[in-house]
Amino acid sequence: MAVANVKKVGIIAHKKDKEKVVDFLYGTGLLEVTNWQGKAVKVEAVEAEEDTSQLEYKLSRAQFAIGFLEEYKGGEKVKLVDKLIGAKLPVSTSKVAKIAKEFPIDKVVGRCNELEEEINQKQSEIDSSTEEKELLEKWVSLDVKVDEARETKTTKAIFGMVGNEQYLAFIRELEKKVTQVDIRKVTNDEQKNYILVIFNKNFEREVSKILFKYGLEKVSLPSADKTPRELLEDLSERNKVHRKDIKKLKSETEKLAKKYLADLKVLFDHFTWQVDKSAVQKDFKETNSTFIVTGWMRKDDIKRIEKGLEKVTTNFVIEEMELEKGEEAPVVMSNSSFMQPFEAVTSIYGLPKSSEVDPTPFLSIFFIIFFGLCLTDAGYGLVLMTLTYLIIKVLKIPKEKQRLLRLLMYGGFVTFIVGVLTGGWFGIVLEDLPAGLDWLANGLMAVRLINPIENPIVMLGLSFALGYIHIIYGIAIDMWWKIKNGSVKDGILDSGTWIYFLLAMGFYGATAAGVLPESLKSISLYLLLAGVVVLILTQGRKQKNPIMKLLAGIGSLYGLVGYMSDILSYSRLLALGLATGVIAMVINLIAVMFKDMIPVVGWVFMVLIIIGGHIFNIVINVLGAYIHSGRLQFVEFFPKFFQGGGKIFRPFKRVSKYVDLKS
Amino acid sequence: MIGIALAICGAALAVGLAGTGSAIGMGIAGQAASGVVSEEPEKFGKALLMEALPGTQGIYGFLGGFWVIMKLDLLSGATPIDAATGLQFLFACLPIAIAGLSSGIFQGKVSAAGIGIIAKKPDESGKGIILSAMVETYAVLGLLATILLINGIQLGG
Repeated sequence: MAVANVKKVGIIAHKKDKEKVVDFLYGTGLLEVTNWQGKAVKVEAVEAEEDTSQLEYKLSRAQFAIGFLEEYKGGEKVKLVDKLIGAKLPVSTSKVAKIAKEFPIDKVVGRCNELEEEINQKQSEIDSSTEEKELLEKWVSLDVKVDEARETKTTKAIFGMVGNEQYLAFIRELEKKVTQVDIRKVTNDEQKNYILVIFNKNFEREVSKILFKYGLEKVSLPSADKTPRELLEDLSERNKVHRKDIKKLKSETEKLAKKYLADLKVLFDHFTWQVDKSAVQKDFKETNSTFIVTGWMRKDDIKRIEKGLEKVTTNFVIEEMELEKGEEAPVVMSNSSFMQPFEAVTSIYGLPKSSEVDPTPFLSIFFIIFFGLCLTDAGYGLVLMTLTYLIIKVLKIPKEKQRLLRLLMYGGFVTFIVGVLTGGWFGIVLEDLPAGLDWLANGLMAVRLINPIENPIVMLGLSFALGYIHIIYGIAIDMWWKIKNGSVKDGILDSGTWIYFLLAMGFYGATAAGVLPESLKSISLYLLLAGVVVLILTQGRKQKNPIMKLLAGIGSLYGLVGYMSDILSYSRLLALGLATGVIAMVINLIAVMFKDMIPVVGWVFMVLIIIGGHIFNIVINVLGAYIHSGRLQFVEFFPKFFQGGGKIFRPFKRVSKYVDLKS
Repeated sequence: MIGIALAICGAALAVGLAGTGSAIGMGIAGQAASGVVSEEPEKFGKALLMEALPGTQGIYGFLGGFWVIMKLDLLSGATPIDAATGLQFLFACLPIAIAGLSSGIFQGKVSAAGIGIIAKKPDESGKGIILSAMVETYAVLGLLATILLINGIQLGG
């Protein structure tokens, strides 16, 4: 329970065993390697291994090949479950070594490169031919070879387009002004006429003037000794060949993917590990014949590592080191498996510092009760509980990914209990159940202690009461922690007096509100006044000047406003609980309205609305309950005793993307 | 009948204004979310969650409006009330209407900024959610005030 004891350790071993030691540390993943700046012994920094960049290069090549082949891997279906939890390929260590040794990486990556280039090139040729095709299609009916319709000694030919409106005038003027001209209209569309103009070179100036006047757009056809139709046929022939080639190339790629993809992934992870292992050595220090690793390790693990290292090498020392000034150990939370799900809540806020108490076990019970109060529907609680249980069991979610689901499962259970006590059953109004279900309604009403819709004030009071307890609990943890760590005086005088004051306040409030007998009222008032006096006397004790002591003491009473506003914040429990219940009621109401409005089909609508509506309501309100219950911990509860801001423990550890390594 | 009309006006304000707040807020957050998703589609889930946060004001407003509907049996021939009672309903609806409108917009802005956290430090996105939920507090209090006020209104007086 609480924060694990993390120690700073140093390992010194013989250089010749370096690789084995690094391998071992990497495999166990229990040490966070740090860059040790110590000057106790004269040591030299290890020069970064030359081959780190070489390895990174290999890694990026493998990554490219995987990315390319992944697109062509074909029909192999990944099971949805595997996809959701990111299942990995189980591979043995020896197999990895074998693949690393034998895999023809250069050949495969090289071929992938060629294939990608060739496919892209052919594809882009096909894509760019569309334009040419459109151009040629207009000229299909021209039965002249394109090259023939060019310049000769005496004539010149121009392909062009003229707008429909100007066409007639254009021809008329051309034929009038130029005697030796041949105009051939090839085709026309909505806007333009496509023409071939052949004329005697002597008239070139006149012709070009007219062409300019009527805005003729020249067209340049690809030069070839062929008619446009033949060119078009060539083009589609070429594209056909290209498509066939691409198909062939793709099928080769698919074969490649089938054959090498799995191994490539193993190789990718292998390279990643190598890069990791080589990069970490930058933080090592070396002497002539030894090397030194420093880092953080849980105290419980030191023995294990020592035992393990003994099997690897005999020439080593492992030792706990003193913390330097201002140095803080990274933090690992370690809680019982029942409490572990609640670590998810704590880690939203941040990890505790290594010198702080882990708030996880303390917030757990309140978190889950508040969660239930925000939902207050036994039906929803049941759904949530069964659903999360089924997900964990049926999909076989691995333990380390269960945290959130387990938390929701607990939440569902508490919601069920709270729902039973407040009579929330899918928003059904128990009083309105049909007569035949009297027994059920009566039974459910019998266990219903409060009906929040009829009686919101009682629920509000309950919310405040829980807030009151929660806050005093928070201060009490602070007191306990301070006393445990030796600051007995601060613990009692700061936290203790406030606890006393808040308790006296609650006592007085209870008598004033008539919850406790009237006769206790005067006693409670004296207790409360005593609390005020004590606060004034104690809270200013750190000031030197006696007047300032008094003023600071009086000023500290203002802290009460803070506690009051904290407690008011718990009213959200009522509001969110009501929201869930009332939305559920509205859903049922709307569903029944549809049934009454539309005959026959109305039933279908009713069922759809009920199912869809309640799912929506559950999702929205589970989210709200989680967030707001968490907020009450972070904003109202934590500041009483907890700061957070611990560094996360990041062990030097094998992380793999594709492979699940079995030794 | 003016009494009923006033009460309906209150319900309409609660639903309409709080809904507007949510719509604007989700609009702001949604734009930021699309930006992140266009770069990293796999962050859709987280971005959607963040976008959904300013949506609760609309639900609270609807709830406030519905509380009026229930109290007055508006769905099955309304309980007749005088003008003064009608005004009471109208005013009782204002907390969630106003708080819903303003907090919806600002929660949307905080959510949009939180989507920035998703883009840069996805592991810390829980913190963005909490920051955004801080704004929602005032919509929750508004709803609470509305519910308690409506609950306290005496009918048939």
